[in-house]
Amino acid sequence: MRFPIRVKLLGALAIDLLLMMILGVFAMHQMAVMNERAVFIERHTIPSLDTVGDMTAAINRYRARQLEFLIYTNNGDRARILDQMRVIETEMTGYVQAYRALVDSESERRQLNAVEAAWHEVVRANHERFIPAVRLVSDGSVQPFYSRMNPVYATLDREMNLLVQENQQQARASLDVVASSYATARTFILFDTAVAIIISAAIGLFLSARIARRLRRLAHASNRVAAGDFVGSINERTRDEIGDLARAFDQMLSSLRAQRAELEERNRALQESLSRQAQLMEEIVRGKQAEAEAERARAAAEAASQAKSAFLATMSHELRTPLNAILGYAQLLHLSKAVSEPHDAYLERILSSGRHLLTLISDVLDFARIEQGALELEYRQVAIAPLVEDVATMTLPLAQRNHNQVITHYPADIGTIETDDRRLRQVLINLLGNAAKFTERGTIQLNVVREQRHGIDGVRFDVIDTGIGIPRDKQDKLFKPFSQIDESVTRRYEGTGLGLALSKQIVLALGGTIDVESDFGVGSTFTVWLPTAPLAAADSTSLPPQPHLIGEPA
Amino acid sequence: MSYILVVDDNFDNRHIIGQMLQFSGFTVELVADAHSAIQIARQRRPGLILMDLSMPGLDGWTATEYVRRDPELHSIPVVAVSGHVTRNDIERAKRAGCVEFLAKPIDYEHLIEVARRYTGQASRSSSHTS
Repeated sequence: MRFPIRVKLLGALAIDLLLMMILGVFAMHQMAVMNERAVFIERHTIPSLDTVGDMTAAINRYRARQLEFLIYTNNGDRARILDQMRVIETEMTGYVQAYRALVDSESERRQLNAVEAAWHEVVRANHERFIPAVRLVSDGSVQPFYSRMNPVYATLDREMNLLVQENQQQARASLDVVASSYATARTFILFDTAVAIIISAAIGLFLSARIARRLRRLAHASNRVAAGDFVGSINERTRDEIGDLARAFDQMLSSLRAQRAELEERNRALQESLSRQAQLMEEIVRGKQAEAEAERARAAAEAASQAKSAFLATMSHELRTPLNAILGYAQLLHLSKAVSEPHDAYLERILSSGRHLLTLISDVLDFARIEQGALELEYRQVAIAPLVEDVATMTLPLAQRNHNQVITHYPADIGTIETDDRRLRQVLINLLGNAAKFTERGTIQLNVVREQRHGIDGVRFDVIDTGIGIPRDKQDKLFKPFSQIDESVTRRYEGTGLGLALSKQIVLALGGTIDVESDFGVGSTFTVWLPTAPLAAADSTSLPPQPHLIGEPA
Repeated sequence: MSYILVVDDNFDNRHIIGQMLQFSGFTVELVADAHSAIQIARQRRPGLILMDLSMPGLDGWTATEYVRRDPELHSIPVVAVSGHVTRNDIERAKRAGCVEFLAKPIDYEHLIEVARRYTGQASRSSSHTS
């Protein structure tokens, strides 16, 4: 069905109308037929029968005049009666003519002619035989003359009857036509009405059911949409108003779906952004708290550190003052040679112990400075060869005390290194001093080579001894403060336990590394590697900026 | 022999420095405060002043600066002698005008080497020790 509902409804109505029109035309036709028959009966049958009645009456009167003619014997009466007969004959002729005008079938005409002929036979018999016979007889024995008229009248009566029958026949035929027309019309009207009703009902029921069903689908779909279910569609293919509505609905639905999808997408994005925001806020708050905490801790640490720093500086100064007196007077006594052997040796012990105490004080101070990150570095170009010779020479007295040899080894073109001269010396002296202390009757080597590490030019210093060595499990503790390998060693060999830890911190501060390799009982090798120039990366100001993304997982 | 002025508020310190210098043949005068030191320097024009830094009253840094700015005294070299041995202390002394910094406790040989260098006497050695 590809037509609008209006067309469908109009179509249904048109069918009904057509049926009605057919019905009307047919009924009119039937009515015309019946009317025609009625007119026929009115104009033809009824006048015909009247005329037949008149004719019958005239015939009876004619017979009565014959009887009177028999009875009355005088000539006056007979003449009057004869006149009356002639009037009736004229009357009869008029009736036959009147009837003739009403004749409408051949059989009727023939019958009328037969009646006329029979009538003429009666009139002729009357005038040719009856009247002359009666005139001849005057004694009253006329009965046989009248009887002789009977066969003629019988013929006339028969013909008259036939005419009447003909008339009746015609009337019956007309009535039959009317009756059949009526029956036909009735049947047709009933049938037509029934068909119209059935068609109307069928079309109406079908259309209305279909429309109702489709509207219900639409309503159902609308309810679904109203309830928030945008899935599915009506898929109405019919091209009428409801089809248009359904398609519009589908379009609306798909548009709604798209909108809702977009809305959901936006909502999801919004949720995400909200949760991200919440997370960010939380992180910021946490970060702020952590920052504040760190700040408090840092402030506290700084305050503690400053107090410690001030305390250390004061202690250092305060310790140096009496030490100055001790070492000073000992030196004076030694210089003045006022003390003789063996007491002069005691003076030497006082001096060496005092100097050792001084080293300890310096180490403690340096270490405290490093811990506070307050170690000041002073970079300059340092010629390596003289530096190596210097530190070797300075170690020599200590090495010789244990009957050790000191050997230095470096390429002639070893060149320079840009570093803190004083701190590098401090580290090397510390390492050489340790080697000298823990080696007896052996060799202490200082080997220097240029070596690149990770693409960075550097200088490698190896301090190799043939001393007591360090057990593998103690090696990693070596560079931690106050961790000489055991107490007996500490007692035997002078040391603060700070030297290696201090050296490591200094080397790290100079951008280098320090490692140890040792076999217990065989000897140890301490390796210091320093870059030939201060590393740009070691300079905190040129470090790549710390990613400061809030919300970055910690 | 050159004449050296030793300024230190601590008796032991100035006594020891004085004795060491005298042992090596220097003429010394010992003063306990910077005020007196400046007055004596005006009168006797020492070849070298050994100046303690941390002293009550006029401190060694200020006194050194004064000596550096005084047109009569500014040619006299001042060597700081101090137990404050941090890099900052040394820098501060150099900024005040000290030509050299001697850390306490005093090492005899180092002291004599410095004294000889600044008084123009022949020094035994130019080798540098830490």
